[in-house]
This record gives sequence, structure tokens and C-alpha cells, in this order.
Amino acid sequence: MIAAIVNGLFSLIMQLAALITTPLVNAISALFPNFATMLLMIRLYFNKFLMYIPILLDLALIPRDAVIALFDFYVVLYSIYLIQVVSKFVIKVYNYFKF
Amino acid sequence: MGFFNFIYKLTNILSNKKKMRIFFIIAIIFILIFCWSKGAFASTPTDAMALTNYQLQLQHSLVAYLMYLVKTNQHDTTQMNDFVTKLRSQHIYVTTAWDNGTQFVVNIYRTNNNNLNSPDDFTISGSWAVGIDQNGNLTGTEYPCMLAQFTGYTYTILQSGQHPNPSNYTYGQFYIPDACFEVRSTAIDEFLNFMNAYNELPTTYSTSDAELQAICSSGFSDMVDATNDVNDTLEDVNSSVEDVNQSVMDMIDTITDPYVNVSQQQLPESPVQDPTSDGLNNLFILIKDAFIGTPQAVSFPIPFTNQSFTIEPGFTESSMRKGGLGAMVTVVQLYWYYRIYGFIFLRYVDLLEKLKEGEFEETVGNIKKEVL
Repeated sequence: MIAAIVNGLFSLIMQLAALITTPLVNAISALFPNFATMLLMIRLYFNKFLMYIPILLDLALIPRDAVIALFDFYVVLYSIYLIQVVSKFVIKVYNYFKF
Repeated sequence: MGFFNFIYKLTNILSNKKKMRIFFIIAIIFILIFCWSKGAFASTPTDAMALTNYQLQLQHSLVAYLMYLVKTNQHDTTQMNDFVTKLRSQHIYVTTAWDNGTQFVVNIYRTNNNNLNSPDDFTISGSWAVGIDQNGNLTGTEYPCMLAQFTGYTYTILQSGQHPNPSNYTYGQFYIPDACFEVRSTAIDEFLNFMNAYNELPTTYSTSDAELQAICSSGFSDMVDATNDVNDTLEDVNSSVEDVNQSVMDMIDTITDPYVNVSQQQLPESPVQDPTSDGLNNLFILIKDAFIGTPQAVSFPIPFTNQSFTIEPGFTESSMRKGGLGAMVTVVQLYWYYRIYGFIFLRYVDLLEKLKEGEFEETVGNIKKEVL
């Protein structure tokens, strides 16, 4: 039940955020109709040069397991930061609705 | 508490970079010694590692059948032709004969354009021998005078005994007709695999060995069973593919079924078309896949021509290992493991120290700065 309440709360917040950003999105759509294309080109550019990364890793004989461990390390670090921010936010909301 | 205290003290000791380096160098030396003791740096043939069970059964059957022929003097041309027909998938054919009644000759060829290859195409090392007495029967003891040697494309097994009836057996009697040969470009690789596995066999056999007796008694049936197993496996794969196709067709039928009302389960979509909906969300996924995803082959086009060359993933490591530089690859990879895992370990040590000192806010702030 507590999980359902928290999920509903977050859904409400996300809906409100979407409602607030709707005029901004409309403005971007009207003023910059090709904005999505620009974002797509950025992704394609990244995709273009990132495809040479595996070859460079192969040439340097860097083992894939070590790279995976490095990614996992940063994911753990980022998770710690995220947990701290979320826990602060939840406590703040709890204090706000507390009678 | 004692355990965690020990871990904390250990991390404190290893947080000293000088001690850390010494620790890792000693660890690497121990790992190298361990790898060396396990034979990691030995020049073992890598092709033999790719040997399939089918090939193993094949070469066991080959030896069993040859020994069966020697033991029973059943040099039947029809049976031998059947045997070589079964070997056609390996593109190898074998002839056996008593050479002038003094030595047992096993000719092992591979085929290419229906012609025999030059001896330079392959090399064979090692030896194997069969214990045969002067009457051509297998003996229960090892035969010390046996010698195997390779000359040209002929693998000759010398023995000091005499064939009981040399006039009945002449060289070339069991020559296999050219109609049994097949052409394939990868024949030489398969032949090398085959021979590498062949050299891993024990050098001597004994008729008192129960396993050998079982092989000899089964004789030619091992070969037939192995071939049938492969055929059954292929049929299973085909039926699996057909099942998958059928499942896909069933799924398509289900989707177009008018009795399935999916509209009730769809959530209402936002009327606003957001051009920034995708945004740059996929950038992290792109970077992650580039580093730790499944590597793809990359083609480099050659300018002013319609040709290109392709680099397959893992080509450096595989080519170096094939070239006998496997030890160097292992050392380089150990170096990278040392650098990356050392970096991670030191960062964890710093993090644990700060958390233990109660500097949680500052630590998380530092993480935020570091990540972003």
C-alpha cells in the first residue's frame, strides 16, 4: 500500500511537470520545427565515432570484463548520489504533508 | 565486528599507494606462477581446442577400425570404402597396406581439386604406435620397436614383425577411388584439427585395456553412430527453426484476431507532440553499448575503389594467440586488469574512509562533482 501511494505521488508529480512544460514544448515545436532532427543528428554523430571504440579496445587488448567493472563502479557511485537526493525529497514531502 | 574491522584495516593498509603497488606486483607474480603451473604459457595447439565431440568420436573410430583390421586381418576393400565415405565430411581419406610384407603403412591424405596435395601444405608432429606381434596380432604388452614417421603425405607405421602372408597383400590394394573425394576450401583447417586431435591419443595401446576392447568390439559402429548423432542434431535444429516460424505466424494471427480488443488496455496518449521526447536520453546507452555491448565488425571503404576491408571483433587477440603470442596477450590484459581494478579499489577505499569519518554529505557532493 505504501508503495502504491508513493508511486501515485510520483505519477502525479510527473503529470504536473508535463502540464507545466506543455507551453514550452509548444513554443519549441512552433519556433524550431526541426529540433528533433537536430537531436537525431547529434545521436548519429555519436553513433558514428563510437563504432570505432571496440576496435580501439581490441587493439589495446583491454579486456571487456575490466571495462564492464569500470561502468559498474560509476553506476554504483551515481546510485549513491541518487539515493541521497531521493531520500531527501521523500523526507521533505513527508514533512510537508505531516499534520 | 572483528571481520569488518579487519577489512577496514586492510583497506587502510592498501590505501597507501606504495604498499598497494607492491601488493599488486606480488599478486601478479603469484598469478603468473599459477598460470605457468597450469600450462597457460605452453605452446599447445589452439586448433585442437576447437575439436568437436563428433571429431573425437571420429578419430577414436579411425584408430579402432585400423586396429580392428590389423587384429583380424580383414582388409576388405568394400568395408574400407564405406569407412572413407563416412570420412568424406572431414575431407580425408586413408589407405592401409602391408608394404612388402615388412611394415604396416597408413596413408592419410587430404583432398583438393581431386589431386593430392604437396607435403608442404601440412605438417604432422608426434607419433603413435600399435603393439603388434610378428603374427600381426595385438599384444598385451607395449611394443618398444614401433616407430611412426611421416614422409611426404604418407604416415608410415614401421614394425619389426613380418606379415604372415605377404604374398596375399600388396601395396596399394586398398587404394580409394577418386570418386570418394570432395573439394572444399576449408579442408586444410579441418585436417589440421583432425591431426591435432590424433596426436593427443595415447602412444601405446594394450589389449588388456577395457576401453580399447570396447572400441575394438564396436568397430565400425562408432563411426555410424557419430554420423547419425550429427544428422539427428541437424534435424532437431531444423525442427526448432520451424517451431519458431510457426510461433511467429501464430502470434501474427493472434494480433489480427478481431476478438482481441487491445484498445481497452491502451493508455490515452498526450495530444502534444513533443519533439524533445527522445532528447539525448539514448546517448548514455550509445556510449555504454560502444564500450560494453556486443562488438560489431567495422568496414573501412578504400577511396576511389568499390572495395573495402572489414575488421572483425577480437581480431587482435585471436591473431596474436594463433601466432604464438598468447603469453604476451595475457600479460597485457593483466596490466589492464591491474590498472582498472586498482583505480576502482582505491576509489572505494577513499569512499569507505570518508563514510567512516561521517563525511557523508561531502562525500556525496564529491561524487556528484566527479560523475557530472
